[in-house]
Amino acid sequence: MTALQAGQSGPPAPSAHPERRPRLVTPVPDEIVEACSLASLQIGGTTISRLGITSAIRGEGRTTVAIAMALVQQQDYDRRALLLELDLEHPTIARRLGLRMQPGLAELVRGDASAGEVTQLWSERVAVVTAGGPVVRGDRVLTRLLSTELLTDISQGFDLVVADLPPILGSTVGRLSLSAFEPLLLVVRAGITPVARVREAVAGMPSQPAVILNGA
Amino acid sequence: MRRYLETFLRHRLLLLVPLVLALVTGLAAVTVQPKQYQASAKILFYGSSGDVAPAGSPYSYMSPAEQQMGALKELITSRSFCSKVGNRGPLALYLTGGTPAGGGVGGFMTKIIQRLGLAAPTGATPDQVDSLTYDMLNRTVTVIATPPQLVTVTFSAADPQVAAGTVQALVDQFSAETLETRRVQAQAVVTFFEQQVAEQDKQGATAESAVTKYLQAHPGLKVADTALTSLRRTADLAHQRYDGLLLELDQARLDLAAQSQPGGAGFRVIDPPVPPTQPVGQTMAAVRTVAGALAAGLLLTVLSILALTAADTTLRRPEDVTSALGLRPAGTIPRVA
Repeated sequence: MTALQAGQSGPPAPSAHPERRPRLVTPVPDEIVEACSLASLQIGGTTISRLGITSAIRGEGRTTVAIAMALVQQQDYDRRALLLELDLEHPTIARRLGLRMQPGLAELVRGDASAGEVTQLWSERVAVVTAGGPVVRGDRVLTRLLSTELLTDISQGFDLVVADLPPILGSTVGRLSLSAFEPLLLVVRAGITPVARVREAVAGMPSQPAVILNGA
Repeated sequence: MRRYLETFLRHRLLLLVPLVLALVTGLAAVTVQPKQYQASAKILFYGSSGDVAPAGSPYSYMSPAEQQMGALKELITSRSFCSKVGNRGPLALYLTGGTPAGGGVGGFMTKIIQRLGLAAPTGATPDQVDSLTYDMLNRTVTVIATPPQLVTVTFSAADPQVAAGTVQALVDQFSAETLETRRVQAQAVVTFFEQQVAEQDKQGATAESAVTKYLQAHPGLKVADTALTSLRRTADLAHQRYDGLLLELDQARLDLAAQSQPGGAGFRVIDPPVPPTQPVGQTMAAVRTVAGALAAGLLLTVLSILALTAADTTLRRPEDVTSALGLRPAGTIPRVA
């Protein structure tokens, strides 16, 4: 079942003039979507095909920004976006977007489900792959995903893959998937996260990330 | 500057609490502080500088008022003098009346008064009362000279009668101390001259006796010879010295007698102390206390702002991303309710 069949109010049909398309009722406030729209221009706009959203520690708004970034692709650029949940230790996207938990990434990697079965259409141009069932060894799931053609398979047909990555310092697999999703966008909670922690997280990143301040 | 302002706005309640607490404490202190009544006496000292300090003395350039002011201030630093003042006037009795600090507002006020040193604790010993008297007099008595001859003595207490009575006792005790000193000195002078007169009287008698013996030894002497002239001169000199010493003795006795007369101490009180009817300087004291409390609260608030700002190691603005991390800020998500 997709989000449209799960009782959510369905998205309006696309019109010829995108600027007059009614806004989707989203779990992300409009102010955040607006801010992410501006940030999207800073990190490449329509030129990027992959985007990794991460943070130093948990609770900085990583998942919210990832959802907003996927929405921006649909609303501003009319692009198809795939939202990939890679925070296997604390998955939240299914609950937030009203989607089913399984099958998801874990089942895909295990071979228990196909790419089409794990991909859930949330809105007209945004699809979601949730983390899936309980995962004991997240590092194995991520390693298999990144070392095989699975990622390419599920990315077929989408203009942009937005990866909701695990936090760098708050997760055992934080740094594992950074190099596969560039550019990287580092979400920092303004007034909360100490600079030292952010520096520690940035120190091991494969490339310099762009930073978005949350709650400034 | 902006960071400090941001810190204040973020923690304004926390930072205003010390200020409010300080203000409340100041107001409470003003409220519970007992009223003070101030009594004073003006004293006129006689004579010129030379009367008090001889020419050539290091103090001869000072006026009588300044010299006596110094003398009185020195006496007040003496515990025995203060003890005598306290016992002579109502102060010691007032301080001895240590009321047991019972419950309620009255008991609380009593404890405050005892803490402020304005009353002795319950069951205080004479030594404790003397110490309290000494502290209070040294703390509260002011002696100001208005040259050349006027000195004003002021004392403050929570009771107007005690204030006036203590000033009077202070003046009386100072008078007694001064008179005693002068009496002792005058008596010493009298004793000295009495001895001198007695000695000179003997010498005069001896000289007269020598003249008589000479005349008896030379009965037919019609014209005074050299020896007789010399003897008579010696006798005359002895009598002259005797007369001079008698005059000095009379003067010394006169001086001694003068000590017993009013004004013998060399001064008189031209404005005696009167129990004041209004407490002193309550408004100014209140303003000073509240201003001090506000200043302390403000200082604490400022220090807290500085400490909180220094302890803030987080990122707050896009500029911080560049300055602290050297990274590119992609944007800012506003705070959403």
